[in-house]
Amino acid sequence: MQRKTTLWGVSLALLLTAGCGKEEPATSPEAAPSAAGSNAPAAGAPAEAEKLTQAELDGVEKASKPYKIALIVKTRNNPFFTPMIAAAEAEAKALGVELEVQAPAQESDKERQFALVQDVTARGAEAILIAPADSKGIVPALKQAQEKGIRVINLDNRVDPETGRSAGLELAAYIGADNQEGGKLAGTALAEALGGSGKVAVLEGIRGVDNAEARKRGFAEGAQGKLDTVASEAAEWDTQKAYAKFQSMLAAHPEIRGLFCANDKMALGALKAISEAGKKGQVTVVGYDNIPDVQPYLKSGEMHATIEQHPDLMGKYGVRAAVGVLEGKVPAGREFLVPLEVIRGGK
Amino acid sequence: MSLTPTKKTTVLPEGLARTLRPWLLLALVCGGFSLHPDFARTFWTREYLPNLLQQAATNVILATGLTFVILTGGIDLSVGSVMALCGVALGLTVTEGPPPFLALLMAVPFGAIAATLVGRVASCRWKVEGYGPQGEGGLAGERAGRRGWVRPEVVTGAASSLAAVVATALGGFLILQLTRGGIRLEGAILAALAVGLGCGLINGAVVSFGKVPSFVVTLGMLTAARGLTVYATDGNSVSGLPARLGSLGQGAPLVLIALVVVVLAAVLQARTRPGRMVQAIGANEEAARLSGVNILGYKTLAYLLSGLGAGIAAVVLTAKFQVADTGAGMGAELNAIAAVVLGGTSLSGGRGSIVGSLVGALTIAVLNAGLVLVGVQDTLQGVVVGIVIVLAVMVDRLRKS
Repeated sequence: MQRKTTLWGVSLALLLTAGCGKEEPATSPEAAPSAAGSNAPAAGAPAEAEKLTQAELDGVEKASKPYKIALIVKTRNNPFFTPMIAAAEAEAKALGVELEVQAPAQESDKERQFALVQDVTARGAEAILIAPADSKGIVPALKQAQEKGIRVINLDNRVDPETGRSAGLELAAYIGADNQEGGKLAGTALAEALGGSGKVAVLEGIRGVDNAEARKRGFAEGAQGKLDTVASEAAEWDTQKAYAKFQSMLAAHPEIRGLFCANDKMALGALKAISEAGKKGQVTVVGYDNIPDVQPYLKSGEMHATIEQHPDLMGKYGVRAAVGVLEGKVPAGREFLVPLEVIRGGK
Repeated sequence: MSLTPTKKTTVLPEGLARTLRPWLLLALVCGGFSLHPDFARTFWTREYLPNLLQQAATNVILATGLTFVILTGGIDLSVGSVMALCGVALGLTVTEGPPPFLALLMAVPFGAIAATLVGRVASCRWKVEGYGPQGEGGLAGERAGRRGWVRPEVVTGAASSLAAVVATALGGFLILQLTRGGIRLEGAILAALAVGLGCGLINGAVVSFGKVPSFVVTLGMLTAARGLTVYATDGNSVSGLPARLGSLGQGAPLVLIALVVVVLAAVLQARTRPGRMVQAIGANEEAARLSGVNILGYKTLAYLLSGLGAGIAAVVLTAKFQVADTGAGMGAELNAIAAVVLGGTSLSGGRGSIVGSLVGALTIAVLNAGLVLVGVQDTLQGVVVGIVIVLAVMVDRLRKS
């Protein structure tokens, strides 16, 4: 009996290796020109992608059959994804499709997310909605899915256009938010609150990362000619780092009257630094994301405003886009940017 | 506890059972899942099985290195963080050249070689007769204690330490000069492996020479390596890596690298003297010491191999994602430990095998994949994996007692 087990195990190992030898490298350069020639710009440069209108997506009706759709997010431990998942589940129910949600336990676990894409591919999903933890590294897994005829819809964080194009990945849709526009809204809101002028600081996300840079650019655009940015540092989306960085920023620039934090988690750290410095109410803080944790601060007026990027709408319209593309009612390869909203605290 | 770990355990019925148990568990997990039609339909296919091996590869490599440490009765909690540090070292070396402290870390292996050479020479000079292991205060030490105030282990120790410091500093300086502005990919891969070796050596040296419990030392390294990773890059990930690195991180090359690592490590562990000595230390350190085994050297070797494993894993992980990420490998040490334990290696040392760890890592990969394939809700998957790990080890224990 046990001997049989070993034999079985050995043959399994051999089988596995044999299977592997036949595998083609996922990034085949020859795929690129053919993709460029097709009518789906998909993973092409975001600026060129044609827009889907909200009316088009709202026009998607109940699915003709219960399609299997998988939603893979970065992690469930990030409050950003909670409304996205909830809205996607509700929309799937409304449209009569099956939605399966998968997420790595940790946001940094890109390998697990890669594996999850492969697993839902094997399970026979018909569309995959993905918010990639790694915009480049995920491409081979998405390509595998595409080769099995699965439609890939990109939510939130964009799949790297260059990597996607060279792998021949054709996204069925992109549903996300315009981070530069959001940054601009934040800049305008802060300028308004400060009466049109003042010295301000910025706590950035991770430098070099797409959405962090876009929010920073947008903020500069919105604040231009009105606000004077005296300090700008990267606190990498992190509450602790934001706390420490803003403490030293306040010490170095006591004249700071306003602060833009590229996400609300950093705003939480900055608010703590402000109250510890005895400057409560003297620094106007604008955040980004509208997470539950900042609600009390918005209510008390300690925090001025935040930008809601409606992850719920990304979830909702992600599912609608998937059904629309599967039914052939929505053209593939387009993008839809969800409306942004400035949430102001009530004093 | 057995005092005869060097015996070929495979000829004994108990040993045979031990070798087969991880396979049996893997078979049970595969078989159990196969009862579910969704799993049977999707898993046993030519498209899916290669995926599984690729998913397991990093953990297989980490667990292989870690097995040596666990065989000595120690633990290495730092493999995940060291993997991230090695990845960043690879990225920085190929793009712009490493910062000074990373260059120093890369030179630590040279320091160790210099220290060993100088130690050998010095101990030959001072040892009169007897074979007491160097620097251990064995027979030679006792003899010298009677001869005067200069004890040989103090002299050899001082000389080797000095040599280590000088060689590391010189090597670090040289590496810094040679890698300025970035170097070829092959060199950068060697640099990443050197960082792994360096971290392993530091772990090993502090555990064996410093007599600090391995849990504490490697916990320190876990924190320190993660900190250095963030410090080296300001928390940003390193991208812009050469495209040809990518081929190492997927498909057949990835699986081949993992297999070669396992085969070489298995031969080293089961068929060579160092491998048997590592196991002997774990089985009964006192007995091994009394029979003249160079405890300090072999213990250090175990941590060195674990660090090397983290370095190799870093290369394939960085290749897979074409980016060196400061957050890579968080919690990876726990997956690796789980693989080693499921593979039948005893956490108290002395018993176990590399192939077992391979099977353990595959079992975890099958569990993770299987739970998705049969449609278990993602929030519950971790719970199931945790329960299976504990149950597997518990059944193992209950059978024995």
